Amino acid sequence: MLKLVNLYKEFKTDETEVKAVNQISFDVPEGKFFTLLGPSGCGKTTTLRCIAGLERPSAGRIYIDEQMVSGGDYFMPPDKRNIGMVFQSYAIWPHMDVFANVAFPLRVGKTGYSKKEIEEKVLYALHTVQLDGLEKRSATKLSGGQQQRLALARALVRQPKLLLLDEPLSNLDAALREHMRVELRQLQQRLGITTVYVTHDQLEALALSDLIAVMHDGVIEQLGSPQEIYQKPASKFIAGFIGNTNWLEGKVKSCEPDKSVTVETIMGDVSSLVTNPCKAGDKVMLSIRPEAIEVTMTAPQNGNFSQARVESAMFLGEYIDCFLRIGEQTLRAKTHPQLLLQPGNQVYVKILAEYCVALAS
Amino acid sequence: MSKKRGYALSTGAFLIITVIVVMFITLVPLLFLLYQTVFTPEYAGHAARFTLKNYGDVFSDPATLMVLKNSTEFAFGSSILAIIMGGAMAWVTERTHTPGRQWMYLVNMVPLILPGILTTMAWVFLLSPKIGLVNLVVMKLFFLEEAPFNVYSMGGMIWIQGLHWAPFAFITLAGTFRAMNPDLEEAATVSGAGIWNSLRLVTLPLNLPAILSLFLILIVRGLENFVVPAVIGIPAGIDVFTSRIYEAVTKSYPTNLGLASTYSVVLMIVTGVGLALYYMATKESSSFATITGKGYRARLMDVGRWRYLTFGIYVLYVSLAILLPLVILLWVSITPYSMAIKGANFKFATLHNYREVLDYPGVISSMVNTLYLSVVASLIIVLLGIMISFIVVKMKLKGGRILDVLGTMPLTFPGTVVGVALATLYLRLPIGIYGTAWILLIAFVTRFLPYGVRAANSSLLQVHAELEEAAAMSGASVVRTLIMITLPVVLSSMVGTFIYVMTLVIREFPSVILLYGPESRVISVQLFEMWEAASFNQCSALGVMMILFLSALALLMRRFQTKES
Repeated sequence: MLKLVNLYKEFKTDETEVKAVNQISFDVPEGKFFTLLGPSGCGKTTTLRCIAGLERPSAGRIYIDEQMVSGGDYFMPPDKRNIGMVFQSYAIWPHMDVFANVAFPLRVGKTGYSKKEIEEKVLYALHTVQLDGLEKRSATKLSGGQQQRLALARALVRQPKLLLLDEPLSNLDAALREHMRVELRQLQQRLGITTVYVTHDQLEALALSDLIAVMHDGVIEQLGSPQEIYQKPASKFIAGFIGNTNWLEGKVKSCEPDKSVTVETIMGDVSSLVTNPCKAGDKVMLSIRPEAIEVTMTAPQNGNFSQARVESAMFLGEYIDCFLRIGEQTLRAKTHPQLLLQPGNQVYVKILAEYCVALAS
Repeated sequence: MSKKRGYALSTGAFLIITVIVVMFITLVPLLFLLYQTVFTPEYAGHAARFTLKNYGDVFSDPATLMVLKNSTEFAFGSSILAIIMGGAMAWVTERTHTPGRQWMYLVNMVPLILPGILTTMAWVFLLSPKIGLVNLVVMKLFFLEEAPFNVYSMGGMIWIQGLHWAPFAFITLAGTFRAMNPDLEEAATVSGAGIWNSLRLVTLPLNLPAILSLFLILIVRGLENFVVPAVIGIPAGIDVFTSRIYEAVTKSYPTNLGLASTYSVVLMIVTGVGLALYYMATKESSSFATITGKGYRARLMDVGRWRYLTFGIYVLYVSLAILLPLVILLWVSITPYSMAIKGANFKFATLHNYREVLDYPGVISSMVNTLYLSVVASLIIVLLGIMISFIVVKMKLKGGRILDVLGTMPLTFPGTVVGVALATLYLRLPIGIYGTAWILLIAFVTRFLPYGVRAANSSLLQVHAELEEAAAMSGASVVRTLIMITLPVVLSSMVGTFIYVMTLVIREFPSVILLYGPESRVISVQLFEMWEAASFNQCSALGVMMILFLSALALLMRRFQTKES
């Protein structure tokens, strides 16, 4: 449905050239929720704006629904692309009421809709985002959540083939954000609309997406499903960016053909997954997720384990967030809330292989 | 204990002196103006008598209606023109990818360096029906019998005033556009609106409050302008309020100050209404606030092919407002008499006019007077501004607010009105300063005090907060800190303002033309006299010298301003 081939965009300032988007290629299948995830400055918003036509790529091609919208000398302006876009600031027009905001795309386009058609489509769009009854309200008199829905309704009113969202949840408070996350996903699945979503919030990305492209410094470091990205990060950056992780230095002892590896560490031998080919003797960093660490008060029956001392333990309701000290190393772990850990306690720590990844150092 | 009492006494004296001076400068002339409106002219043998005839004359005279109509037409027309030109430049600069954008802000310097009186004269050289060079060229090209353009018309007046105020409109609207969330226009584009639709349905409506406020301010400026009415309006027979006032003072015998004052009061009422509407309008605009405090990264519209057209807008403005007048002034200043600009005539080019002008009676003394007065007036304004600001910002007394209002009130006085008010006041007072440089000095201080106050306010506010805290922490006495630290810092930040006020004084015309005397002539008066005497070539030479001097001041000012920020 959406295809990017070697997209390249640089910005020239007086002093330097900034390669904002550096050879990005990906395919978004129809109906899928595709997220561009990365820290500020990684190029995700620039990529989105290139898709929308608000930025002109320096090189590369973009195809929407098999049709090239940008490539070589050809550039289809944004008002012709028939895409729906939700801006981070919502960009609701304060001088129009709710109805006029949503009706705008229908009124300015080439297709002439009759008054009745416009009314039908607008009311339907408002109904889809649950803003019924607010047509006559001035757009400035809406709450943050309502404005966001309004922006969504406006983006969807033309029933476009592609929906673009630029960090739409970042201006909402935490509770509303969680709620809207669910609604957004449900809406997207119900409508089956191909969606490209930009965010720096890895939790959002994991929760909403079918596919995630993790971006860093203008390139895609990894593209995969949320599970793949989380469990098998391809690089240190991704492992550190997505969720919390502990880093343990080690040396590869042996590589098993089933893509697992034994690594010699100060905690003894640890088996873990590996995403890149390796050989014995390689220096690696083990990325160990907090939930990959089993903490017990008594020594486990089998498997590799170490002893550790509890440095601190915070009760967070759903789990205990604790820092455990093994020699020089501190590991952060999540344990069952019933475990009564106090600073100074001696505990036993076992690392679950299927949740660790060995990454090149 | 006695130290505190001493402090209280000296601040008390300081306060009282400042208040008296400010009231005398701002309020008293106004009161005398009102007072004068109800008196007949006084001349030898006849004392002034109380009368309401002046008001009667003004309101019953059918010419008054004509004056109102002309003033309104002039003000409205020039404002609309300025907004269209300035607005187009602002949009191109802030909203598109057009090349050369960063240079456009220099256009703000233009009214600083090219005084209205000189650009008006330049346009006469270009568009006068008899000698206008543009007319001659066009007539030749198209084989016309009669000159197609006549600058001596309402259209000519509107054209010149509009061109002159376009930079102000540009700066104001550029600021508005910059503060606008670019997402709003992009959302329109993504929703399917082309450039025109996006402008028409989103940009324009959102900026309408700002545009309307600008419109009101420009109308007030148009109503109080005297340069264009003096050079063009009077010969053309088009009278506006300011030219009426001028004629009542200078062209009637006995000097009909009563009539002049009455017209002045009426003018002030009209401009007062305009300003009141302006303040009301700027309060309303907060409901459309697109300024949310987030800094917006400039997002520019790619206008593609159209960027040649948009660049053309720049070129057009710069040529019309800057290049043409400058070129023509230069040309006229280096030719012995009026002649067309063509290759054959270059052999007549000479610097003779420049030498002659320096020998012209009164020119050197007017240069000296101008320089002297601008420096002294500026100094007084800066110091007075600091004093007022100090009282308002530092000593948070109840009377402080009133002082601030009084100090900035002269912004609402049209220049001509200041001239009349001061003339009426000092003719009554037994101090013999009418017709001397002193009255000019007072006029300058009255006119431009607000600039000093505003600049001092902003710099004191910035300096004030940190220093007071540091002083408190260090244990130094507040007064000591203020004298040893605050004052020098504020003074250094006022240098730019000092120079700016100098340029304002040098360019001032409407008040000085009513107040000057044989010993107190200044450059703008000199230029006008030479103009009326049809010494065009020497007049242009003097004008060019004035422009050079103002340019030097402007460059100096920019150096200090970049240091200040």
